[in-house]
Amino acid sequence: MTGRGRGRRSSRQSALVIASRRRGTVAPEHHPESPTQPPLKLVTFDVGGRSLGAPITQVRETVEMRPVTPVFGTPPAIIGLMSLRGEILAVLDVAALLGYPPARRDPTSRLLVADVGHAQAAILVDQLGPLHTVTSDAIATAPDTLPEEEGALLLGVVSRPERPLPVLDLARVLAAPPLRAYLGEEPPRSHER
Amino acid sequence: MSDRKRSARFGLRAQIMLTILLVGVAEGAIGAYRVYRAHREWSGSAYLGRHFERFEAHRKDLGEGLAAAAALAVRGFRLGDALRDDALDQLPDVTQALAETAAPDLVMLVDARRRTVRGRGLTTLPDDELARSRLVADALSGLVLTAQLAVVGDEVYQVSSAPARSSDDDVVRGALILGTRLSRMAQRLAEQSNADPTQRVRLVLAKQSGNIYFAAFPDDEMAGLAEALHPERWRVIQDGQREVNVIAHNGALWHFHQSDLVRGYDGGELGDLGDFYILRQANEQQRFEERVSESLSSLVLTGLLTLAVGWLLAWFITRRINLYVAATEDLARGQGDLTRRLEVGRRDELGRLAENLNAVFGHIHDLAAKVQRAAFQVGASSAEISAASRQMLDGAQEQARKTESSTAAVTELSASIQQVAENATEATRVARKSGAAVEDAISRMSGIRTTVDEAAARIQDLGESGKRIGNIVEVIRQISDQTTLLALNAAIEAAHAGEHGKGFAVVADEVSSLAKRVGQSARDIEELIATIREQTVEAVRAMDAGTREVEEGTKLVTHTLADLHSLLQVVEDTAQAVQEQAVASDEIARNMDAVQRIAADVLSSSEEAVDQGEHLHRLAHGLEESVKGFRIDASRIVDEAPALPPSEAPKALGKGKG
Repeated sequence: MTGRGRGRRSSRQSALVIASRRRGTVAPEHHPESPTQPPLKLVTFDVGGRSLGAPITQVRETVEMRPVTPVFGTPPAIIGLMSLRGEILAVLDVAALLGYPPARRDPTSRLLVADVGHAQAAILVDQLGPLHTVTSDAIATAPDTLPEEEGALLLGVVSRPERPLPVLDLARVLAAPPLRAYLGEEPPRSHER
Repeated sequence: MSDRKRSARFGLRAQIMLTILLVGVAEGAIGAYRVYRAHREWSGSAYLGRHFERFEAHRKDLGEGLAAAAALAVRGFRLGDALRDDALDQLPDVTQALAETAAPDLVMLVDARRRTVRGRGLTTLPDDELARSRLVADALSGLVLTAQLAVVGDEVYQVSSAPARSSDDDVVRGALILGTRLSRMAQRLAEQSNADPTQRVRLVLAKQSGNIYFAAFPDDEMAGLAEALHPERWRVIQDGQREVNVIAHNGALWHFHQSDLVRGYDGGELGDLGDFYILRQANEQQRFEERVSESLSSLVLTGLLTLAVGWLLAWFITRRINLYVAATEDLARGQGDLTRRLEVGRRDELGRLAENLNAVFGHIHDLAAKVQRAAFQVGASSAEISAASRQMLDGAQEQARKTESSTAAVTELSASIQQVAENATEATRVARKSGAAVEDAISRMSGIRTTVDEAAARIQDLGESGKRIGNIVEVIRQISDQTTLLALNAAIEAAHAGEHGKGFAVVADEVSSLAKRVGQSARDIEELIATIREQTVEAVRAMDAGTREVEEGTKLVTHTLADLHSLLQVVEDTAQAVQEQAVASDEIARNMDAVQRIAADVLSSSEEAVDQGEHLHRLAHGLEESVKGFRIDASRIVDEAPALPPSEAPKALGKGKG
């Protein structure tokens, strides 16, 4: 259930740290509005009928839906366990954490494998969207009007022409109180630079 | 006619009387013939001659039998040896044995010395007379005597003898003589001749000189017999048409038969003994005459009686018949009183004849009455017929005129019917053509339906192909989805690779946008296929509707064709009917010609009818005249004659009306 060893290989920084570190290295043509800011790529997906985003640095890969084995006694956010190339991963339903309607489980459903360094887990999403590239400063702080539990999990909100896109911080998601006992402790903030 | 009647009346009575008379005469003739036959049978000396011949034959048989018996006895007892040895006592009684077997009246055994050593029936004859007897001498001389007559004592015998010779030297030692009394033979002859004692024949042996040796008469009738036998005393009587000699003796006439001379032994002599006479009392002539007279008198009496009975019978029968004849004579002449009736009298055949005649009179009476009335009615009717015939004549002339105009009209009708028949034939032709066209239309519609079915099948195939394309597009879409996923993963990898992954990120981005376009294209194709499918379903539905329409049309056209066929049939029938009508109208036209001719005939017939009506009137008058002669009781005339039996009634009624 822990499966931490492999996830710690690339970085232990928060998403923001990573974003700041890569600023300036991203090609300015990817973001014509603010050529000076390093571009931030977001993986977009739908959960419970709502579009969400997640930094690509916190995503290891995306896979198709596959059999999930339910586990007795786990919180509602943990759907069960699955095997990915021999690695056992927990499958999470973030809708249950966010208070959204529960995610569908059908052939079009996808699994987003999150890797936040110390923890890995698969997140069930209704549908994957295109990559969305924004500058780092384009992420605004989430408004206070959002519910407490949702706001605690968000990195921020990216404004888009059509709709604002809430951006999840997968590290916080994996460290959410109901899951903490199952996915391991978040490392101390002292590692930040 | 009256002559014939009279002769018939005479004939009936005469026939009855003649028949009865003939019966009587035939009976008398038969009786006379019987008398004659009886007389013929009993009369005549020929009858007696036959008796004598029988007697002689019997006598000879008897003599030969005795001779044989004697010879047997001599040989059987060896009488010769016994006489030689004088040993008769040692033998059984020869005479006794012979008496028991041959039953002779005389048995005499004599020895050579002419002595009777054994004898029976000769006890009174002394030996010396025997010694002189020529019979004994002949017997001892060795002769065999057979059926010789011999007078021995008072009796006449017929004797036979056999010599007895000794066996060693063949010397005659004696003789055995056997004899039968002539009276015994005469008795037998008499008994055999007739059952009536008075009619029996009698045998007499006598010489013409008057010496009677034997006569089968009682002693009290013997007197005068010898004289009566003499030919001079014979009488002649008429026996039928012949004259015969008879002997008159003892108050009666005797038929007789005289034999030839008879030889025999009389004492010491052998010579003529005389003649045999056979006599029978000749009372037949008298009896015959009595019978004849009886027959004649009975014949006459019978004749008279039959005549009287016949006349009575004939009178009794013809009396009533004559009454009927008289009653019918007037009617036979065609006039008379038809109300008269005969007296029936006794209910025998003639009574029934009278009843039947009365019934016939009744019928004739009713018939004549009806004829009279009918004649009157016919007279009246014939006048009406004449008038009607004249009317008919007028009508026939009118009919002839009308018939002519009708004939013309029918000829015109026939022509127009011919025209109609041609039109109907034309209509038939057109209708047939239409039928062929409709059949062609039906076959074409069938072709359309086949084509539409094929098109529907193609469209179905098209739908199937769209489905397969959809499957393929689904695969493409899945591939594009996976490609998108892969491109995302590649982008993620590229992001993780940092600066080094930049180029790869671009490629991944390209791949991703490509996959997105592929997915979009697949979705467009899917939409297109869905549209095609909808249109296919729509087309198939339209095809089905078209097929149904074609079917409906085919059905409609088929019905139309059937209707057309019916119409054609109707038109053909009409044409046929019109054709027949044309033939019939021709026939009518021809018939009208015939009718015209017939009308002409009717015209002439009507003229004839007028003449005939007048003729009928004259005939009725004549008929009335013909029955006027009969007297008829007018009160008895009724429509239906009551005397008639029911079966006859309708016939008589019909006649009355006619």
